Amino acid sequence: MSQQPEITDRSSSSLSFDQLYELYATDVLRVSYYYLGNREMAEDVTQDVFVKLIMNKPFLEQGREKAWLLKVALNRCRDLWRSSWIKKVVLGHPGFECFPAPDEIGQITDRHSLAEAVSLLKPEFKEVVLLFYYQGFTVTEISDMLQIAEGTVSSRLSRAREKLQKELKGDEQQ
Amino acid sequence: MKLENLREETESALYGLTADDSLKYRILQKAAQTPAETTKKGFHPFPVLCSVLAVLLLLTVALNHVRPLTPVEPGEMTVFAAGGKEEGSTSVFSSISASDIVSMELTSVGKLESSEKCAQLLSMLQQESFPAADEKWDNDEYLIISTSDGQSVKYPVNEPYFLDNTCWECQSFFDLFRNSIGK
Repeated sequence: MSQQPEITDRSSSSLSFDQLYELYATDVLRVSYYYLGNREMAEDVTQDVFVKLIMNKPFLEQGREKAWLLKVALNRCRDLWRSSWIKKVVLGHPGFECFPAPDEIGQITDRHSLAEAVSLLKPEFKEVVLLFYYQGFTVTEISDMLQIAEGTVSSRLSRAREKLQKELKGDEQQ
Repeated sequence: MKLENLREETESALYGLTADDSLKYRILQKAAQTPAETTKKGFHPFPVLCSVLAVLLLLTVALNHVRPLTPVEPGEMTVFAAGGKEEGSTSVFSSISASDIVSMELTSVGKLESSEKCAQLLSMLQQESFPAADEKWDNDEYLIISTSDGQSVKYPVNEPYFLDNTCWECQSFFDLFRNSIGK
């Protein structure tokens, strides 16, 4: 592709599409995968997010590029999740499949129980856990991204922690 | 379990799940196609205009159903309350002392200048409180209460009636008010 789209026309962010893709596309893809549990759908979401970035040329604040990308990705995931309720009911939730490094194949079963447990949380809990613990956003930033009160973010985090603790203890006992 | 390890664990669990060049190529291709598709579709003002008109019509019908758009005659109002917003004073309706009142005026009815009758009416309104409704509408009706210290406080008479998170209801307040001033 010789013609690279310019996405900085109306944005205060100085990052180009290439730079944004390089820096954040994998995070968008993995968060979407956590949410949907399906690689193809996660790739579709990542595609939609970056196409939207190119087409809409949104105002991106310096340093808030990833927040925008993940916010759009989570909105898209939520739409897909809602629209695919029949699939979920009929087919059940797809399992969390690992994509380990070549030298780690065969040693993944126990080591990734936390990631798997997170993937099985309800969407509203999964979102805050992923943004807080995986992506390192603050409660205030998450509140802004998800358009919910900071108190709601904190209580969801707390409830998610409880659920994960129960889930993982149950696994240990078995 | 340490959730703080989630980043590290994810890096390991999803090591092979990366946004590669083929996905980037797909994105650029899709972006290149998107404007052409949009142009083909074009902008058709007629359906948009029809949709807007239909929504406006539905809103008008719905609002008219909830509350008639024609002004309600004061005498026909079934409930009464004062307050919600205050103008020209920080006084609140519930804290006005009946003994301080010099006059009360309802904009569409007239002015009651008997302190005794004013006190009776105010006392009645202050006692009849109900949980507040979520919404209120101004209807250009005001209750103006003048007190002995020379101040006047203007309370909008709203539907449903609102003040300090409580409502005041009086089925025939307007009639009572009218009778009180001999109209």
